[in-house]
Amino acid sequence: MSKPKVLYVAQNHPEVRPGGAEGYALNLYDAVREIGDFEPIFCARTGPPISDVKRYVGGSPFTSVNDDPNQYFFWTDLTNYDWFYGRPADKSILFRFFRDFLLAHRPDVIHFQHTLFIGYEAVRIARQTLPDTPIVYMLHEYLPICHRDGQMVRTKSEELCKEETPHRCHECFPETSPQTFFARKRFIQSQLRHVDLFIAPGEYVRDRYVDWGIPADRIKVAPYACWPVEPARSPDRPRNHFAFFGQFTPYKGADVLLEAMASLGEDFDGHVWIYGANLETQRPEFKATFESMLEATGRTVTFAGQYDHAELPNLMEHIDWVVVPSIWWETGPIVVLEAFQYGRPVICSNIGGMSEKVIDGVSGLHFSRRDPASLADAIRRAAGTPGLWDRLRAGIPPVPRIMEHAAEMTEAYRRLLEARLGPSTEAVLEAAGTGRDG
Amino acid sequence: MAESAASLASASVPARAWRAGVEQVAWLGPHALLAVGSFSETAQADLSLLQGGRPLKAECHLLTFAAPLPDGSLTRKQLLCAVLADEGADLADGPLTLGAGRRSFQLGQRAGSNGSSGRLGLLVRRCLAPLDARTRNRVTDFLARACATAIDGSGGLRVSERLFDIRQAVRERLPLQVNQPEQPRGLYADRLLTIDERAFYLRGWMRDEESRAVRITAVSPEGARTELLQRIHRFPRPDVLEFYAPLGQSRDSRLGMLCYFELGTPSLLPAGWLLEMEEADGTAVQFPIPATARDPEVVRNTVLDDPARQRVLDEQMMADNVRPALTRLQQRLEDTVSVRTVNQYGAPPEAPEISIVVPIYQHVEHLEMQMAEFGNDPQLKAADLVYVLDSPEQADALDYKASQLIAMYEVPFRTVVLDRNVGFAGANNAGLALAHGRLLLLLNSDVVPAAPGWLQVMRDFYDANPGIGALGPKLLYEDDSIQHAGMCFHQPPGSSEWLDAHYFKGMHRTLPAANVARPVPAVSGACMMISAELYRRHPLRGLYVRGDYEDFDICMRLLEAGHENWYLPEAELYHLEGQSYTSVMRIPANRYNMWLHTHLWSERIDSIMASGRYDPSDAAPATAPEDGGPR
Repeated sequence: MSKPKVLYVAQNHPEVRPGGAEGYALNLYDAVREIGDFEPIFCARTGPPISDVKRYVGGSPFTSVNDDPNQYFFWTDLTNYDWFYGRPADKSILFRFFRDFLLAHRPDVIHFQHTLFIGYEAVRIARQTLPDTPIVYMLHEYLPICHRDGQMVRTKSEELCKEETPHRCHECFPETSPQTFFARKRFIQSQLRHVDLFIAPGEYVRDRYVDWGIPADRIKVAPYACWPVEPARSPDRPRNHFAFFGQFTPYKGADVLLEAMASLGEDFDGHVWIYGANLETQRPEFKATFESMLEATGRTVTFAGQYDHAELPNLMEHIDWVVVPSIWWETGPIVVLEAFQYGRPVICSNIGGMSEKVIDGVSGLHFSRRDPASLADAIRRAAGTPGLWDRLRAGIPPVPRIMEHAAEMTEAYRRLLEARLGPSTEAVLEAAGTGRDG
Repeated sequence: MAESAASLASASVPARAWRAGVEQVAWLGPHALLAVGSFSETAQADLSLLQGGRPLKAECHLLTFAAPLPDGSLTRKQLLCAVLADEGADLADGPLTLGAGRRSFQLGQRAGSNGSSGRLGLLVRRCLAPLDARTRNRVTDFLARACATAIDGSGGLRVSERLFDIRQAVRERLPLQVNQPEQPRGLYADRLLTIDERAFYLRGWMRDEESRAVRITAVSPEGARTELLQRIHRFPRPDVLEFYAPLGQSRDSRLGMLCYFELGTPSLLPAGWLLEMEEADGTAVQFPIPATARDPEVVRNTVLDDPARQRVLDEQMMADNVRPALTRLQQRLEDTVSVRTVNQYGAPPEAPEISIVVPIYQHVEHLEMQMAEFGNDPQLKAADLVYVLDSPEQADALDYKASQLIAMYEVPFRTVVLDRNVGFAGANNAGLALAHGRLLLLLNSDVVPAAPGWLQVMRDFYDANPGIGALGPKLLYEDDSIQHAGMCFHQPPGSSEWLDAHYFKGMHRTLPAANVARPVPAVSGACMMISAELYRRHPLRGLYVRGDYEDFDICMRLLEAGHENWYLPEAELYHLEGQSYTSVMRIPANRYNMWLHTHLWSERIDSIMASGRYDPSDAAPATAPEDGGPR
């Protein structure tokens, strides 16, 4: 008897380009396979701008990944992709190809990790094609709510935003009418209403989506999880090495860190390493500011650029603190989990997903968002307070493990199947070899 | 001038001067002929046209006039203009005979299409050119009117061109008016609008302070003459006053003139119109009118432009000029629009109960917004859904969108593409003509339901209350404030105009007073349910410009016929209004629509508003819906 199948749909394959959300998705796929009661299928969207490839196969947007019969690339065209509504102009990619894919695999559960570059309508097509198949949808950031890259940070003031209304969104984007923002929300909700269960990586994220209109009982909070690693060694030295890991987008706040270092001056006894990617794709103004600040902090900051994720144990060994200065909410930043896994306390902005994970004075230090002086203060304290590092390191909580997380997910899938299939569920699941055995 | 000739032309004939005969015959194409001669002793003759001895169906028109003889005396002559009524016939098919009472005259046979213009030239030079000025003007006017059927016919443009040639040859030319700031006489035509082939709208200005104008005549390219002086509406033109500033203060500041007039005969040529002005002192001038504007948008905007500048609308300007022009224009558009394509997407529902008609102008993308919502509502899949596009340049875009959306949402619908813009009423009526349901729902493309189930709620209420007129749901803005909870009227202080007013507009959707089903004077056309049978008796009328007040108008007519209109708060939809036209474009149309609305309905509105039945501050309905509907 075959196992029930769960299909994961992701916006990118980590093999093409690493990223937090897609990395997590693939980890989940691996873990579910290892648990063994569901057969996972991984369908990763590909194509510009993330990948440079044209279609791999003529006539079909699907092709397999590295000979794994359960992994697929799903190429979608971004020409005329409607960024505002998150939908493709040519919907045949969904009502024809994606539909055929679903019919070919007939998953028992569909778990959307993301619909970016694919279209929110993929959810509806899934519902129409397989009316009885439960649909799960992961809320990685606030893209459905916020047109500003899903960040919920206001455009004019860079203030944090807690609620969307057509009028507020229109304030952020005056060229777009409130009616159009309303239409956007209605459109996205008309697709997402077919989701049976949403997964939020933190309570803060759940609350924002409940405010937005998703019933609270349809959102399950399940923090991100990682494969366990050995903590990094911590050779005896002053605890004054800091690192930033992340993309160089304005939302990640690397510029706040540079400004803080500039204010600490050349004589500061400590050093920052900056690791990350995508500076070249940023807006010219941001790039220019960033580069001039790098210059100004030349002695105390090293710009290390892109890094290989496999090197992380080594990199962590050479630093003591991880700084997460994001100016947006973050949903459950994986960089925090990784820092914790390697035994590194985190200095982070005092908001959202970061402050939910990092307890100020217990597992790290908080500073005021977008405030270089406040960050400089935290860095000075971290470097100059004897015993602080050891105390905070001892306060680091255990990091959720992906195997346990995957078990929680498959349990959720089972419940959904039960609810869908009614009283005879047990029999069906047993026939499929996944009956819950106490 | 030729006073004697005029009296002679219509009076009895000196017997010695009259001798029956044909002088000249010429052809105005295959269906019309001219002949000069003496055919009948009386002006009203019993005329008939025969070809090869068989009678032809033809209209024969006769003009009697005085013509000079070589010795300087006058004789009585006649101009015959005969137009074939049968387009299949041709004047070249056989020899022609004119029967006039007991006499008959051989007119010869048209020799194909060649050579006829030579004969026409001969007729004009020999018989018409020698006539006095006044008679020549009568001749052109007579021909333009006598040839009406021929101009309307298939070769009409050729006939018009011939008539223009004749007019150029025989019409008495007047000195050309050149307007100068230091000259007291002024005459100018800004624009002549073609409302349709027989109706026109002139806008210009004139100044006649030294010697009063006694005649202003519009001359069509075909030669038809229309007296305008008595019907011209004069209005202030500050720009013209400024032009004449060197002459000092004007007696009358109303130098502007506009005039709607009907010609009584068609005119096809855009170029060649003239304006003549004659003053009390006998001087006369002419001014060439620029080529007419035909494009409906230009025509509408020009007609609407003057009222838009007035705070208090001039009743005469509106009633005698603006309204007939716009009514006739709207009528022309609605009468001549045709369905270009009808496409069915998806399998049509069997025996649908409700037909939903959604007009789309420009905003094809609204379709997706509605489909995304309709796809979640089984009742919409069972309805007869019709989209009517009246911006045909988007037919391809609509077809592409429609093909995608049927695959995506599986809500069957039809699209009807009209060959041009006809406005709200026209588009709805075109769609409703194809509707199958026993109930109709008029729906705007920028309206989306708040939740599934609304259509059923409206239908159930409509069926439970037989005899009601239109039923309107609660319409909301994007921020959950009320856009529509029924409509009534409001009279600004000091004005006689009734403006539209909305109950509870801007209040929150949960306001208790707005959540009572009640009879209301009118409901919004953005979403309106009505029985098909009732609608066919009282359809939307395309009187208004660019979709406005049609809903008030139909509701008033329903009320007049004893069907009260109802507001139903249990059905809620969002109306993302104001995206179809920019507000700047709407202002002139609004001014007109508002005036027309008041003009048509003020008495009824007076009595409605005086009755107290629809007092918006009264939260309880005058008649509960349960008692079998309104009385």
